[in-house]
Amino acid sequence: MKLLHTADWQLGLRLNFVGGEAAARLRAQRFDTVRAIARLALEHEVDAVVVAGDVFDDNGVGGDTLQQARDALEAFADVPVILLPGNHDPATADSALARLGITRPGVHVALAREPIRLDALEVYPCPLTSRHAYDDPAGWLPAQDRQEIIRVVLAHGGALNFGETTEAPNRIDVDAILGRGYDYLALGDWHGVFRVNARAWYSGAPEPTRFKEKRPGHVLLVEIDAPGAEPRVTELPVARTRWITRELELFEDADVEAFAAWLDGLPEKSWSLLELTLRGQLSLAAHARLEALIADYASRLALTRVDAGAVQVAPTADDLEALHGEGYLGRAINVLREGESPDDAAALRLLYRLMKESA
Amino acid sequence: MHIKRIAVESWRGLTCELDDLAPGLNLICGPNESGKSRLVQALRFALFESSKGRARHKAALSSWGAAGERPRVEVEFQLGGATWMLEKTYLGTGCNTVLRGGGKTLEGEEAEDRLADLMGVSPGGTTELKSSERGIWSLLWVDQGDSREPPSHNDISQARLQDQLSAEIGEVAAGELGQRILAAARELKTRFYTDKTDAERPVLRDGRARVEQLEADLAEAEARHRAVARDADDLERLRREERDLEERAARAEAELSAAGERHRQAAEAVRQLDVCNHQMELCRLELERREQALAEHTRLSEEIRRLGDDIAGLEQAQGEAEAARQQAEQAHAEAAAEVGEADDALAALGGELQSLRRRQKSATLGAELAQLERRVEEAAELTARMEAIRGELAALAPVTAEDVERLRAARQAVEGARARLEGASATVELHAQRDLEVDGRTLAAGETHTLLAEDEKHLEIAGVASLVIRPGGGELARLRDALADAERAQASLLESLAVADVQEADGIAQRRRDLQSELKRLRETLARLLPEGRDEIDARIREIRAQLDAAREDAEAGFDPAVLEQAEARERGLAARREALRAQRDARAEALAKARERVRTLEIQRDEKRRQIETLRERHSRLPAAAELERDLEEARRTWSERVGARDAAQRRYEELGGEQLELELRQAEQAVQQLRQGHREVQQACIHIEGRLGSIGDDGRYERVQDLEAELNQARADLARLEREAHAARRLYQVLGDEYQGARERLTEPVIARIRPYLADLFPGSEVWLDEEMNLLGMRGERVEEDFESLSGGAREQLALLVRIGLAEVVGADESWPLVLDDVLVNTDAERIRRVQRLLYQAARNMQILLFTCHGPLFDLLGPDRRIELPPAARRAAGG
Repeated sequence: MKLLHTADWQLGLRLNFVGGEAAARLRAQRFDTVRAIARLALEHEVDAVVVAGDVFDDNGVGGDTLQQARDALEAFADVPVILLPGNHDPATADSALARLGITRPGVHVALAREPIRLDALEVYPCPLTSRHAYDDPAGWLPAQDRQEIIRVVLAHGGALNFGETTEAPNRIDVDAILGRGYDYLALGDWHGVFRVNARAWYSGAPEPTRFKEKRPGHVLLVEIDAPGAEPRVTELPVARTRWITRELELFEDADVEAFAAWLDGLPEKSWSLLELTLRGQLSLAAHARLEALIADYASRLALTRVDAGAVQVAPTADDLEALHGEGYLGRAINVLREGESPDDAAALRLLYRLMKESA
Repeated sequence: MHIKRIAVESWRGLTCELDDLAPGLNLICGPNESGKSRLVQALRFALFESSKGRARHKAALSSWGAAGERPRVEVEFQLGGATWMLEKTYLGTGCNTVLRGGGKTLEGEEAEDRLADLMGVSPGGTTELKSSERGIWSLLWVDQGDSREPPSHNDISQARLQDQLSAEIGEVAAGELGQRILAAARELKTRFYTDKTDAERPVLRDGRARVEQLEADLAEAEARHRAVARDADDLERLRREERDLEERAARAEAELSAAGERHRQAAEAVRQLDVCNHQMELCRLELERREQALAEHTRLSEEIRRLGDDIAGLEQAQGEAEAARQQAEQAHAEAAAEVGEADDALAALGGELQSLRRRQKSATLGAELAQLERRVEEAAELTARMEAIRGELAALAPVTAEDVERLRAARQAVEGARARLEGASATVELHAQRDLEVDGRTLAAGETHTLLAEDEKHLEIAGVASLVIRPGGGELARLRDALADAERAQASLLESLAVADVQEADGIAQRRRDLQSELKRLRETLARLLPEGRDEIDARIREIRAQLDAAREDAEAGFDPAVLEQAEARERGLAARREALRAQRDARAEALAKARERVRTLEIQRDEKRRQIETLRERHSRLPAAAELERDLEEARRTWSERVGARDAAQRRYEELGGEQLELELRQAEQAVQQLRQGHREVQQACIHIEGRLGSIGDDGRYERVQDLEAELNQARADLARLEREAHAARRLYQVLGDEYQGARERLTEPVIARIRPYLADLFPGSEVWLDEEMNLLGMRGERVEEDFESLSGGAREQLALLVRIGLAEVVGADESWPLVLDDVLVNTDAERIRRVQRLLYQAARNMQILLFTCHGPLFDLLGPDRRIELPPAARRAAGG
C-alpha cells in the first residue's frame, strides 16, 4: 500500500508581506504546488493521499480560494484524497472544508470522527472541531486487532512526546494511538518534515509559509507492505519557492562585494525570498553600496527583508575627506558624528549624500 | 590707501582738480552743475574702468563736450607704502593708461592689470563694471541715490572680509558649499515640517492617518473575522451542549415517568385508605350508638331509683312543715292581742293630754295680748308728739334755704349798686397860693378847700375861674336808678316772705329744718314699733281677745307646765311598748307565711318528681333488655377492630410508596424536566440563531481581507517609518546646521558689530546691527525686536547702511585702510541726525580717508573736515587748495 502524506497546505494564505506581483505569483503557486503533489501521487501510483489538516489557512477564506482549491484537486484524477480539518480550518459551523464540498467521488472531507474505508486501507481521521480543543482529538480511536487491513490515523496537532511539556492545545498522544494497533500516524501542524518515530511522521508544509520553518517543502511517500509492517517513508521535495534566511557580518568593502556576488549567484531569484540580518561596521561608501545593492535586489527577488539596524557607519579617512567642511559645516559634521542618537547617524548619512551631490 | 589728488580734464565739460586731499575727512561741496558728480564719475572710471575701448558708457563721456575732446583723469594716491600716479585718457586709440609708482611706470594693459590688482577688482572690460564687481569697493563706494541701499557684497569683498575676520577671530567660514548644504537641508526639512512652527506637513500626517485608518480597518476586519470564528466555536459548543441537554432531559423524563407511576400507585393506596377511613367512621358511629343505648338503659334505671328516693324524702318533709305552720299561727294570735292592749292604754292618756294643752294655749295668748297693748300705747304717744311738731311747722313762715339765698343775693345787689354810685363821686381839693374868693368865700393863701362832688357842681373863683365838676362822666343818673331797682327788688322779696330782714329769714329756715328732722326720726321710731301696722295689731288684739273669751274656762283653770310634762312622759313610754309589741306580731306573721310557703313548695316538688318518674318509667319500658344491648355492643367492637386493621394496611402501603414525600418528588422531577427542556430549547434557539448568522455570511473572503489589510498596514507602517526616518534625519541635519550656522554667524559678525556698536549707540541707542554670516545687512535688533532693513525708514536705512559701511571698511582696512567715497549720502537724514552722523564720520575718519561729496554745503558747516573744498558753480577750472 502506498500513501502520499502531506499537510498544512494553508490555501488562502495571502503572503501579502511579499508585496506586489510576487505576492500574487506566490499565492497562485500554492495551488500549483497542490497540482505538483497530484503529479507525484499519480507518478507513484499511490492508493490515497492524506492531508493532515490545515488544508486552508482559515475558515474565513473566500469563494475564490475555495474554487481554486476545487480546481487544483481535480488534478488528483481518481486518486482518493482525504482532507482533514486542522486548527486553521476546524470542523466548526463555518468550516471552509465543509463549504468546499465533495468535488468528486474520491475526495473525502473528514469532518466527523468516523473511519473512511478505502480499498487497501482504513483511514481514521481525528478532525479538530474547534480551534483550541484541549481534549485529545484522537481519544475516540478504538483499539484494533492486527488483521487484514492497514489502518492509518490522520491527526493534526502537537505530539505529546514531541519533547514539549507546554499546555498547548490539540495535543496528540502518539504512543497511545500507536499502542491501539494502528500502522501509521500521519501528522500535520509542524511545517517541517519530522519523524516522531517509525510509524509517526509530520510531513511538513509543501510550500513554506515563514522563514523560520525547518525543512519545509516536502511530501512523504509512505509505503506499508502489510498490516503491522513498519512503514517505509520517503521525503519528496515539492516546493517551488525558496525561503532563505541569512545572517551576515560586514566589516570591509570586500564583504559587501562578496555579498553582492552571493546574491548574484542565487538561482531562480524571482522565486526566492530572502531574510537578511546584517551587522557590522561599514564605511559610508560601503554602506551606500550596500543600500544600493539591497534596493536593487528588492525588485529582483520575490522578497528581500533586511534588518540592517546593527550595521554601524564608521566614516573612513576618505569619507571624512568627502565630508570635509569649513566653518559651521565642519562643526555640524562633528556634532553629528559625535551624536549618539539614530537621528544623528541618519542626519550624517544624509549630509554625506548632500555633500556628494553638491560636489 | 590715501587719494591725494584728483584732476579731470574735458570730463563731460569739466576740468577741475582736487588736490591736497587729506588722509582723513574730506568734504567736497558744490551746488548742482558744479561738477561734483562728474568728479566722482571720473574717479570711478580712473580706478575701475579701462581706458581702452569706446563702449557706450565710455562713449557717453564725450556726448556733452565738443567733438574730439578726450576726457582725461589723473589720480594720485598712496597705497602699500608707495605713491602712485594714475593717468587715464578715454576715447583715444588703444589703452591710454599710465601708472607710475614703486619706481616703475606702467602703461596700457599692463598698467590696467596692475591697477586692478592694486584695487582688488577684476580688470576693466568693455562693459561698465557693476557695483558688485568692484571688489571691496562695493562696500566703500556709495553713488548718488544709493545711500539707502545696504552694502552689497561680491566674492572678493566676501573673501576679504572672511579672511580678515577669520584671521581676527580664528573662525573659518563655511563658504558657498555650506550655504548650498544648508539650503538643501532646509528644503529637505521643509518637505516634512513647516518652516515656522515645525508642524508636520501632509506627507507625514497623511502617512500617519493612513496607518491609523488601516489599523482601524484591520481591527474591524479582525473583529468581524473573530466574530464569525467565535460564532462557529460557539455553535459547536452549543451543539454539544444541546446533545448533552437532550440526554439529560431524557434521563430526567424517565425519572419523572417512574415517579409518576409511583404517584399513581400511591393515589390508589390513598383511595383505599379513604375507603377504610370511611368504613371506620361508619363503624365508629354504630359502636357509639350501641354504647349510648346501653348507657341510656343504665342511666334510666338509676334515675328512676333516685327519683323514688326523692319522693319519699319529700313526703316526710311535708309532714314536718305542716306541724311548724300550725305552731306559728298560734304565736301570731298571741302577739296581736298584746298590741290591742297597748292601743287602749294610749287612748286613755290622750284625753288628759288634750285638756292640758288647751290650758297651756290660753296662758300663751294672754301674754301676747299684754305685749301688744303696750306697743299700741307707746305708738299713741309718738303720734301726739308728731302732731305738735306739725302744728309748729304750719305756724312758721314758709322760708326755705333757697329763699334765704335769694334774699342774700338781693342784699348784695343793693350794696353793689350803692358802692358804684358812691365810687362815681369826686373829691376836689383846692390849695390857695394867694387869697382867693371861691363861690364867694375867701380862701386865704396856704389854705385848702376840700369839696365832695356827688353831682354836677359849679365853682366860682372870683376873678380867677369858673369851674364845672361832673363826677362819673355823666353816669350818676343811671347808677342811682340801678340802686333804686335793687332796693325795690329786696323790699319786694322781704315782703313776699313776710320777714324783716335776711337774719330773720335765716332763723326761720333753720327752725323749719330742725322740726322736719325730728318729725322724720319719730316716724321711723313709730314704724319700728308697729312694723305690721296698726290695723293688723288691732285685728290681732281682737282675735286674741275672742279666743280668750271662748276658752274662758281653760284660762280660768290655770296652767301648770310640770303636770303637762309628766303626762307627756307617760305617753312616750306607752307608745314605745306598743311599737315593740307590733314588731313581735309582724315577725310571727312572717314566720307563719314562711311555714305556709314551705308546705306548699314541698307539695309541688313531690308532684314534679312523681311526674318525672312516670315519664322515665315510660321510656325505660321502651328500651331492649340490658343483656341484649351488651351483646350488640360486643359485636360492634369486633367490627371496629377489623376496620382499623384494614386502614393500617392501606397506610403502610402508602408510606412504602413514598408517602407525603412522593408528591414533592414528583413536582421536583417535573420541574427538573421542565428546566432541562427549557434549557434545551434555549440552546436550540441559540444554535438556530448562530446558524442563521453564519449561513448569511457565505464566502465573503473575510480572512483574505484581514490578510490584505495586515499587509497594507505593514506597508503603510514601513512607509511611515521610512518617511519618519527621513524626516527626522532632515530635521536633525537642518537643526544642527542651523544651530552651527547661527553660532558661526554670531562669531563672525561680532567683530563687525563691535566696530559699529559705538557709532550705533549714538544714532540708535539700545540697538545692534543685524548681519548674516555673509555680512549682509539684514536690519537692526533690539533686546526683544528685530527690524528688517527694508522695514526701516529711509533715513534710518541711510544711516544704518553708512554705519555698516564704516564698520566693514574698518574690518577690510585693518591692515591697509581704504577710502570711503560717499556721494550725497545723507539726503534722507534730518538736521539733528546729520549732526550725529557728522560726528561719527569725523570719528571714523581718524582711521580711514573719507571723500564726502555733497551739494548741501551748509548742512556740513559743523562737520569740521580735515579738508573742505567748495566747487564753484559751473566749475571748469582747478579748485585751488
